[in-house]
Amino acid sequence: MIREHELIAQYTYLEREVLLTWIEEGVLAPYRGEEGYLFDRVDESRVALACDLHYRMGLDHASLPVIMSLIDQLHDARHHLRALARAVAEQPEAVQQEIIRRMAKDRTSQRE
Amino acid sequence: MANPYETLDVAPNASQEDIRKAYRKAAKETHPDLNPGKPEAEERFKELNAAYDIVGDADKRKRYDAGEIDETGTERQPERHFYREYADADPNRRYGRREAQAGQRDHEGADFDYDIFADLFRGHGEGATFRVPPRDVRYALEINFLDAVHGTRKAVAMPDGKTLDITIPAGISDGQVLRLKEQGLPGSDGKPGDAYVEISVQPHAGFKREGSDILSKLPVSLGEALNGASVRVETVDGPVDVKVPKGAKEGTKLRLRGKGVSRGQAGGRGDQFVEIHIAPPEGADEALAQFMADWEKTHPQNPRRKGAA
Repeated sequence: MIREHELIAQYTYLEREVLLTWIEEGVLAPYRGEEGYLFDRVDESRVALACDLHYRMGLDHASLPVIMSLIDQLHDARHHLRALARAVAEQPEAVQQEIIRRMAKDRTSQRE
Repeated sequence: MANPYETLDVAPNASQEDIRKAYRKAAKETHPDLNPGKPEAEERFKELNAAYDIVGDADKRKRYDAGEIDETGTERQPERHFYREYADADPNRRYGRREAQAGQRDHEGADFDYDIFADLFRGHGEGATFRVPPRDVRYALEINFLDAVHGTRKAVAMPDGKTLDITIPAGISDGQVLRLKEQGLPGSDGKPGDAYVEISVQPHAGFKREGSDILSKLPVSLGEALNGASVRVETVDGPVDVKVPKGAKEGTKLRLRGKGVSRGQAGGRGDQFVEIHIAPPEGADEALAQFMADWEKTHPQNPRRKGAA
């Protein structure tokens, strides 16, 4: 894990106040140590993402937590979908076929 | 690598503003974290970034146009890890899936983590209200080796201004996590989450830990090893006198019962194992060399022979 100043040294354009705001808003939830925050690889990759969105792609301060939360929800949804897909794959062949048929039907009815 | 203007699909005389717009448009479509299901997005995004690093910066662009730097720039791009690689990898689940409260169980008694399904199966989400869940907080605390063996109390000031009173049980091991109930941050109902303190134990110069046992090394002289001796040995409880048996061999392990680490619930303590290392004689002189030469004439020995001690 790396400390706050090491993180800022890596992302030279990242301002300390911005970093602290992100922590306060829950965009980042680094570990806390006796001498300050500690960032692991998960945090670092999130900082990189937040920096991309804010500094490079021009997302403003108010939007960033919203977008990050949507991205988290997207990952959650994908995680749950994978779990569902695994659960379906463990069902008998007939049940799997029925689920696929049912989903296809749902798609067609939406198109009408 | 391609020409950065081509990568960004802009004319070589485009304005900085046009380049920025082109980058943002393309980045939106290819940022791996905005496209978790498209593996090919990462390569394209990296190319975009490399290109934008050069022509997105007016100074660097001038130097590129003047041929002073090539399309890779002068500095190498550091290895970049995208969040999507880690989105499912955090064992502590600090991001996302926060709505799943520990201990919340469904009617069958299984941990019901899949709130998304709970919502779907429950009906149509009517009357759902937004609430901020209590937030768990994670602390990292480093303690020294002996405190880990004996246990200790620590009042620790954390960066958010809070002071935590932490009782560290004897025998805690590196990487263990203590849960402090309701010491986290409150949610909208005022009920705080939990604090989790991950302990890392600093290594000790003289002791190594293996489960509930302590390992240490004991240098003895050749004479002490041959004739036996009583020597002072450091333990986690302080020094004790230990008998080195006559004829002790290199690597012999002496056991000091109960001088190890608490076994916790199992009760009692582990042992300390002291490994003997024979130090060659210091200040060997002509007399010793002559003695050894004579002695080896009548006691031929080849320690390189297979099976030799």
